[in-house]
Amino acid sequence: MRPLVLTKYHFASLWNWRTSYLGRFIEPVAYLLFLTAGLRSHLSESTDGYGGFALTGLTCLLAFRASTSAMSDVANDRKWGVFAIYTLQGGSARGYLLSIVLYGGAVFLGQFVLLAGCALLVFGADAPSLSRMAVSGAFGLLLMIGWTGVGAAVGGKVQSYATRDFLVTVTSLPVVFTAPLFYPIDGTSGFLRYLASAKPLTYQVAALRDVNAFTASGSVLWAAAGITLALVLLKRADRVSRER
Amino acid sequence: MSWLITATGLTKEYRKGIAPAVADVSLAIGPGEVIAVVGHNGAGKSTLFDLLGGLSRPTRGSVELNVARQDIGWCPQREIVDWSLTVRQNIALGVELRKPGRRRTAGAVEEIAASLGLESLLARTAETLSGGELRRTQIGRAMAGDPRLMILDEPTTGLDPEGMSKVFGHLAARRADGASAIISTHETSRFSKHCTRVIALAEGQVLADLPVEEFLLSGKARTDDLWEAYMHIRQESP
Repeated sequence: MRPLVLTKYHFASLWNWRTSYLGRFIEPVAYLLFLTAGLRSHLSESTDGYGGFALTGLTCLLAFRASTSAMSDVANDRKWGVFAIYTLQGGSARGYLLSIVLYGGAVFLGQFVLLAGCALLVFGADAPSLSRMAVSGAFGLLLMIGWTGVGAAVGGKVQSYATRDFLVTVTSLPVVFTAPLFYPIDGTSGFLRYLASAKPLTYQVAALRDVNAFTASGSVLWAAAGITLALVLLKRADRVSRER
Repeated sequence: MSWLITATGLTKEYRKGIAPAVADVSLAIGPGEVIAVVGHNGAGKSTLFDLLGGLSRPTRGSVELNVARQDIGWCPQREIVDWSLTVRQNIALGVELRKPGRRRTAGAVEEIAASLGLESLLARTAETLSGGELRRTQIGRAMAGDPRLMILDEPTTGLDPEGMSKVFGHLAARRADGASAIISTHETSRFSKHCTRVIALAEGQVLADLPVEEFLLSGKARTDDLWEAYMHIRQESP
């Protein structure tokens, strides 16, 4: 029951500060409308249906961005004392994490539905089928759970706003643009391919573009690993961060 | 007496080689007690409150609760507030986490808001409040829903005299219902009329743990100010 209570207040926070949080919905739509629409004319021949290629990449982007959002949310909750209040009133780290995952999952699904609707408008006949979109959304949700766990684990160690903002900055664009989310990475320069090969996001987007039994079990394993990591670190985290 | 909370041999060391912030403190809080903790800055009051509330773990010693965690209202010295939530939501969050599924959350929020003069602020987000309003919001969160034990670390900091009266008035009403509280405050003159027992701390150790009347009589003449009595006890201690 407590995780649901806290989830409700995560949403209240989202609503109260909706102008700040609107970016979480605008960013992926902006990528779709401006970046992928621009790349489409150049890449439609080298990719087998660029609409599907881009939407899968954007699904992985949403899943990854769930980690920076979770990291920020957990860091804020530790600085503002929400994590402390929750645990000192009898709640567990597991329940707290569940509230973060439920909230993040609902936001992810909202983003995904918005993105899928825009993809239908932008790509038209080139857009993936609805059933293919549903499969992407389902596996994307598993990837998002794993990434949320990673973000929550890091958020459990962050002690200041400065560290939080630094981590968001260095992980956002560099990670996104060095993975084959919007364009194939094979024909690019060496260092880009080297960076891409070192990141889970590269393998996740490849697996999502070719869904099979391995994708299913790999996604479940990824979600479980992220959640386990978060649980271990949140249990050991300071209830409130040191920065006043 | 059936104690609500018992602390035995509490010691908190932040770094080796430096004197502990709290050293071998033992105390127990019973039903209906309102305990004032007095001491200089750095005497170990906040560390003691953090240990009692469960915010930090003791290096040695233990805290035994005879009351459910949900029945403890907690207001730390530092600002602990969700800046993105309204006053109503911040208070309701405390009530609902303490008593999940409780249907009378709205009533509990209205009741505490009326007691603390927060009615007109309920719809405002925490980021728009003044220091005193923020403090009353935190106190409201700690006191709403009628917890059996309140741990309040300097709740009156930043409050004007009217705000203090409201806090002390609500505390008296809660005590009449059998609730207990342990409080640190620099309002040592006003608070002497509201507490039942006083614990004097210096360098992390308990100098005195006495009923309030006995504590106020510990100087050459009776005083109404807990601080005067504290200073006398401190000078007399070896």
